[in-house]
Amino acid sequence: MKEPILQIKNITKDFPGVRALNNVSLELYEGEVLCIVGENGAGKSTLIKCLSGVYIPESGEIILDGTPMHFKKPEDSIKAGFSVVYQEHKLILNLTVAENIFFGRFPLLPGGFIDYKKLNSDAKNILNQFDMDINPKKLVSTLNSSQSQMVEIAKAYSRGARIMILDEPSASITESELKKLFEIINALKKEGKSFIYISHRLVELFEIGDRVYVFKDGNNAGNDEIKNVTIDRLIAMMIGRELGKSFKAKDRPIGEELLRVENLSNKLVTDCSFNVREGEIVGFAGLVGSGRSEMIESLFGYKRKTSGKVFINGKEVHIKNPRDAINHGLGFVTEDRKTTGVILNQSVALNITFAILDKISKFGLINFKKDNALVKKSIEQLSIKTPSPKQETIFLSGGNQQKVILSKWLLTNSKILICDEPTKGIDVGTKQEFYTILDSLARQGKAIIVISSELPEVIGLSNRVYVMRHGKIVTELNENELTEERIATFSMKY
Amino acid sequence: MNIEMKKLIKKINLSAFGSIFGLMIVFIVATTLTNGDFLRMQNMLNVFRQVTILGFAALGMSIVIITGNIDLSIIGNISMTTVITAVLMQRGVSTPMIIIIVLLSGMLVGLVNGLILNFWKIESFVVTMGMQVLCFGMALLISDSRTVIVDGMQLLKYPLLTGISQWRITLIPRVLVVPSMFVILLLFYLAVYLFTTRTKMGRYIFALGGNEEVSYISGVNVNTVRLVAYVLSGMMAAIAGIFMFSRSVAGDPTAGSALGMYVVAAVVVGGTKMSGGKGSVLFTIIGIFIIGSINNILNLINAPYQFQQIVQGIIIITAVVISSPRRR
Repeated sequence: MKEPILQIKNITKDFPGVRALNNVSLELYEGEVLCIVGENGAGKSTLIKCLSGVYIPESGEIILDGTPMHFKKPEDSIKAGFSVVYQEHKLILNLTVAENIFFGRFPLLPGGFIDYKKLNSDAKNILNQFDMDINPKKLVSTLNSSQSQMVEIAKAYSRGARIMILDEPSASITESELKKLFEIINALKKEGKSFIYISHRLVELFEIGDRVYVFKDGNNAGNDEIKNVTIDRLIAMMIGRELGKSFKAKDRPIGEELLRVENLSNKLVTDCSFNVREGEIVGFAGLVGSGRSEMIESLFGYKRKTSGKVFINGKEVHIKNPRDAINHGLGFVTEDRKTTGVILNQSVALNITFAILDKISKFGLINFKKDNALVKKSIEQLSIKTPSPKQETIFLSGGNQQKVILSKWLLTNSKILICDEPTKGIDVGTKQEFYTILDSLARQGKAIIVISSELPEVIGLSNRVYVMRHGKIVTELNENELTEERIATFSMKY
Repeated sequence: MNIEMKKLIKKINLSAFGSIFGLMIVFIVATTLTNGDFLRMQNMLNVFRQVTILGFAALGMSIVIITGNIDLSIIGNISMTTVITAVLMQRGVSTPMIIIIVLLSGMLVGLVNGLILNFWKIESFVVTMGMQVLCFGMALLISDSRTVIVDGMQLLKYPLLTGISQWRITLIPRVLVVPSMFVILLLFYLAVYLFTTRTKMGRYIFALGGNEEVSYISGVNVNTVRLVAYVLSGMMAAIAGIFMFSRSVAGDPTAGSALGMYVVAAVVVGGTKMSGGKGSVLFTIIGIFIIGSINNILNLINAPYQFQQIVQGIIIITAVVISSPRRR
């Protein structure tokens, strides 16, 4: 048996009140892709941060090539050959691709000026080597998620990283972009690079992974060769029980048409028409950037629309801002938790009742009894894990933050609930809870719109699916027409 | 002691009680350095008077800073309103009318600040700095660039406006006597505290500082919230302007500039975060006492002006440093 390139021995990391990692050990061999899975809060991110020098573990050893390492700051970790590609990319947006790749190591001309010719051609070489079709002179701010991810990988490669840690690399890229990413990973594997790959999307692990470690509540819950495990087995290890069926049967009673949108256009989408009926879950599929979110944002009055009509219960309504939308019974669980979902530096309680303060106050004074009762009920109803309602929302895990957003919109009693990527970056257990909630809301007669890039999710939930491409709705698929192939075909070529 | 406990204690000390400890230290040092002169009733009355004007300015500033903005126009507004008070008094305008006109002028300044920030996406720093200069200019224009002196006979017609800074109220006999204007200040702090913590608008003010986009998507009219914050700030500046006049019974067009950066300093020393969404107006009271007492003690020990400036600067930076997390 080969010697492992990296050995982690009995690492323990404590935070006030919780043990985030408990005696975790693992080995990584040269040229392998090691997957780590686990629910939110299982300790995956903490482990990465210990490896990248952001956290210093209380005890345990990190042994690289037989030498114990003591990372005090991220620089130490980078020097040792680690490189982390985070979910939120850490590139400098107002610099070019080439400048980012060689940041801090610019080739210089005599006199200290940057040799841009060499910089750009060096960057081009690296990008070409892995078939990354990106212009090195482009500003990073103009790239999409997948491209910035590639730039991060190119940057790590150029710095001579031996161990690349990918944190949720598939969270915000499309299927075809993921294929591309896998090609790059495989090419790098051949050069002897090792990967730690973290993802909530279990299916893809079987395509790219060699071995898998399962984390649960900061502990190692087992590890095995990928070829020896099944998805069900992984899920059972992660949540400590077998997961039931993900999606409920779509035998929901369908009622009258609640929402009809005619020829909605804005800067990015043109002539979108669709409708949703009571008790229906309607999906919107399409590639990232196909205009799904932009269209919905215009419907909700968040972004300006240039033309189009909206009818609710058959009557035309004019929605100029989110307030109008809420008054007409719309709710909007937005895609990006941090920027448009929750107020991170405010309490869980404030966030939960934030959209219904009108209802629980008289002459502008908040009725705290009602407020506290509603907060308590919401926390119990969605089993939001928080030490107290007063906790700042930033300290909750992603899945629980998502639940806070959902509970905010459940309280508004919206008849039409829009969910934009409702399960992005949250674990399987919580995902299933979300599916159950959405199903039961539809059963109560609400109309639900779900935008999702995860095809099994759109298919499993929706009665009908609209597929968008280049800012247009290209087709409407009925329940019996819903297959991954069909949706993928329509979203990529018409 | 284990690490968790240490971290917990550290957190409690620095964030919640940091400013209270700071104030205690200032008082102890003040008393020692001045051989007890600091605590003498006459001096404490002075301290209370000094902190009252700073207190009103800092109260308005706290509200604006909690929304994630800043209002540098306050000190200009104080100069302007104090001059307006004096001029109106010269003309023999009635007391209630003076109060109404002055408050409205101050609120108008806030309204304009808010409207500009609602229409254009600009840093509030820039807009309100411009407004500060504009207000100082207005003060000079209205006063004809001179301190406005109100005739002694005329002053007698205004017992309320002249007396408010002179009257004393005994809170604890022989121990705590405070100027009546300080009691008014406390009432305003209590009112604003209840406003920010108990009302819908109060929550919106914190939420605006936390995340404007989320507020907007959740149906909040963020423009109204911003206007409310700035108009309240303008109103507090006007009240400070009236008291400024009352203390000196003259309208000095440069009066506000003496407050300089102390207003922001008092808010920050009180633990309110410049980034918005975090803080409490009650802690601003402690902030104004820390700043006010240090000024007072430096006067008592006859420290030269330049030395006073240096000490204040160090105190402000230290206070902020103690209450902030390390960058790495």
